[in-house]
Amino acid sequence: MSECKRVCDLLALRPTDRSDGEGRQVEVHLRTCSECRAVAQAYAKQDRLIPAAPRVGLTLAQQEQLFARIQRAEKWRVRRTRAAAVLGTVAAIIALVALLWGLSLLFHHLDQPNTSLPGPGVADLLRQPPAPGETVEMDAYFSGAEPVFMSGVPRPPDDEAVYCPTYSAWQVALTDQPFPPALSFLSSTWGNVLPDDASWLAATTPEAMKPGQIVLPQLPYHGRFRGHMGDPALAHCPNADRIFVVEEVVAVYAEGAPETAAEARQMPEDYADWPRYHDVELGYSLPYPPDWTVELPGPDLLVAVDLHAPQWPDYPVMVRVHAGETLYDQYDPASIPPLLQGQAFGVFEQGWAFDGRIEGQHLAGFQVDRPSTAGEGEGSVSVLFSANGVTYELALRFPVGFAAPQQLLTIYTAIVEGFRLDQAPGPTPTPPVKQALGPGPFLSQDEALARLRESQGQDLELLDAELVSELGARRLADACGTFQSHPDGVWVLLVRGSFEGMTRTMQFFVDASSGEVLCGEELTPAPGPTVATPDASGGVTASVPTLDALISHLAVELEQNEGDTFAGLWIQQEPAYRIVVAFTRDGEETVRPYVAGTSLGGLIQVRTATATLAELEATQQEMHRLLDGPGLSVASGIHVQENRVELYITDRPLFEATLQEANVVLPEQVVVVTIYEPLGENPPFALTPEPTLHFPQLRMRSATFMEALMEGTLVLQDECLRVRHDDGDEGYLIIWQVDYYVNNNAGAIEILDRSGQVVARVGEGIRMGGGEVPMTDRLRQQLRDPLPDECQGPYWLMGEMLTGE
Amino acid sequence: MIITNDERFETLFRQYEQSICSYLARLTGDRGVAQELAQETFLRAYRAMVRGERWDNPRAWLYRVASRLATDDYRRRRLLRWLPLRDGHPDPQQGPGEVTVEKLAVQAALAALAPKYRVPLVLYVHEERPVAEVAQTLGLSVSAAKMRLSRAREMFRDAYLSASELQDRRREKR
Repeated sequence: MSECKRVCDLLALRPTDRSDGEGRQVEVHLRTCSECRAVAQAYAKQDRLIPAAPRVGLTLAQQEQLFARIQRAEKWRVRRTRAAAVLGTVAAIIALVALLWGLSLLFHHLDQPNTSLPGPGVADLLRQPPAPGETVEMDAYFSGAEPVFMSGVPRPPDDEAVYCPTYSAWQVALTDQPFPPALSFLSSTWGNVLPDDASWLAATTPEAMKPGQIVLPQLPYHGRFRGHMGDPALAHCPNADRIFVVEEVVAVYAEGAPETAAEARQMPEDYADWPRYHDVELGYSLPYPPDWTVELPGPDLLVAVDLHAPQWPDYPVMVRVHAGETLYDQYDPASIPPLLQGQAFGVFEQGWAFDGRIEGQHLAGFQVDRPSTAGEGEGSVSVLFSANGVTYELALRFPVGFAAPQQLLTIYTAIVEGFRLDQAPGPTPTPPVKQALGPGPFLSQDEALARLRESQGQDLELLDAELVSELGARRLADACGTFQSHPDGVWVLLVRGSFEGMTRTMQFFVDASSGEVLCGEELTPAPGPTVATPDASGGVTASVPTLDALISHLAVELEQNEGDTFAGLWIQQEPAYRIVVAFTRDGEETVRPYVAGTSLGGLIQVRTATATLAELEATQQEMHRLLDGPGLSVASGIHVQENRVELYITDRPLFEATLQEANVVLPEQVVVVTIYEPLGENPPFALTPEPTLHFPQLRMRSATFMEALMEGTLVLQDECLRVRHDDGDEGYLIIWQVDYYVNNNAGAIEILDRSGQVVARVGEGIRMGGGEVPMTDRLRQQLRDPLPDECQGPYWLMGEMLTGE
Repeated sequence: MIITNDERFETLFRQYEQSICSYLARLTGDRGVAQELAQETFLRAYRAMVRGERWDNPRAWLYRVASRLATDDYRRRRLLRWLPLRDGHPDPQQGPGEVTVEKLAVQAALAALAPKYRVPLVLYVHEERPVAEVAQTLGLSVSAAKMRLSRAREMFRDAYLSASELQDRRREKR
């Protein structure tokens, strides 16, 4: 992890949630890193913006509603408790009576007609439909008793229409056998498919037939329903002959869907005991149920396995490994990878199903619908993960309709959630949006305008023009922000002309290389005045004055105009948001004219300091001049809140000894802060030295790191460690930071870090931050041992070691 | 002294009703949804009380339940994203002039975050809970909560930038 990343992680926390050491690390880093300072400002702004929302409470009516619900719940609970007590007393009597009656009843019942036998069913009604409006009874299962999708049904065509239940028949279906209305897999729930040739009716009720509203019927899961078909109010509906208007529920066999349906969507209880299939060669592993088998589908498919379940032998979970990663460029639909082409797909991310209870790697990929791989009455799903140059596909076909196996889908979900890669993938590749202008050559402004005029067939008036990168163009655009292709540069031309019969101001985006007009959108300049604020280069930019801009402007003004008393400016978050300005004297009077009439007025807090900012800066420079001689690696910063200069060091004993030896006395306003304690030459783990090897190393850890990235192979040449990018180059000789150690592990040369972990090996790949440096006398002075002649440059001063891809 | 469940509940309700409601409003961006979810949160609290549950930290318990309800609500909406989402209820306590570009951008940026990032960010920044309590509420380790917060801050920063640019542009067009 880079220093910046670590500091940004810490900046996300309030100072009170950081340790002292972390706090110091942040302070040190912010002195020298403008990017992280920008992050700190952004996060401070979040602290101001996010809480700035009006307080919300329940209305009185809502509070009454809540307490009424609680009262109802309480009454029901009391009744149940009493009922349980009564039942407990009665149970013994019932048991006795049952014992006495049991045998005689048993024989009688065998001969009696069973009143709970089902009446005519859905298939019967479809086979012999009753006359329109004729009241009939039937026994059926109702899919809508499981309220998965009870909201979000399509609206009726207009306010006067009666809602057609057949618009969403699958969630109001009456059937002769249970029909699961929804199937859950991965992190989504999908509507099941009601087969056209199956026996089903769509239920509605008189209440649900009021024009202009959608009220789905509330019916029991299994019951006997009295009602009619052929209602004239529903004649406009598709499949009108399949609509059954339930007038009355005659009998309830089961109020709600069996709990097993919901349970099937829960994480498998025995998941913790599932074995894992591990393919070392292809670098992945996945869990599977203990009674499943793993099979290779054939000798020609070595990059695949099938996971077979005994209950669903025809529906294996198939794992396939395809060459190449599957990445999608939203700005170039023509480049959709083959594995995604022609199908619906969306983004998938591990960690959503089962409330994130399966510990995965939070891999992200695509969820693909592959209708071509599914047969009649089947659905399909695939999840694609891309990493390390290949695409891993986990695919499943499954039956839909009445036979849809929710349990299989749940197991598939658990397998996908538990899928792991041996080598975790690196960050998602940056989308191929070009961040900077390409090398060109580009059309001139006049040429670009000429192309635009030619394409629009009119003499457009040019108002403004700017050559920007693709990223810049997308940011400037509104509706045009999704233009297709990735140009090296874009001319953004603001023009006025006649479009669709009116004079309009338009913003056009023209490929600066080819002259192709990528997109155009109407743009109306904002009316009213804007405020000028200085930009970083000292120029003036017209913009809306945000609070941040005003604060920055104030700081610049004070530093420039009031340098003899101004001691700094900072933002205080707690106990109240304030902009604190410090002066050595007369602060209130000094700052007043600068904030008069601005929104800063009520936010300013003035403090008195001893030294001005200019004096602190002079002290800082003097301190570095003094320390330059002894060759110490230090960093420093000005702590405006404390009105002092801070010197950051990484090895206090060595620092003090060197200072004493050089007879250097630091200025009074300097405070020394130790930011790193080295381990020294005797680490708490065993090492086998390699005496023939030269290991150039700093004697004191750098206080700040260069952050260029170097990747290559660690090699041994002339007994010096170098990193080469490829065989042809001479590579860099590495100047190692402190607390890295060489270990000879049975002939293999390893580099260990301060925790004893192997971070590099000779002959293997290595990645490190740092930067190329000349071997100056000053650098030689900072080395632990003299550099041998064999260890020739170019030299790379190590920053931080990077692990992983 | 005997304190009934009803009394305990009423104390809890009075103490946390506004903060839970405001928290949910920030999470969901919809006052009406927040009020519905807040009712459900307190209803669950009551049921848990009568079941005999006792909490060391009732606030963390309430926030945990509220967070889950908001996450479930988000998932439901995500499932139904092909349908028009419910319009946000206008805030009767808020004048038209108060609906600033900045507020809209904050709301849009929060909405752009997945719940696993939005929830800790709002708990931490809006509710100003210590990171340890955020971790406890979400059932995470402290280090995991810190990582989640860092990522959430980063994502919010990008989303806010995009959202405010969009809002500025819309305003300019008007």
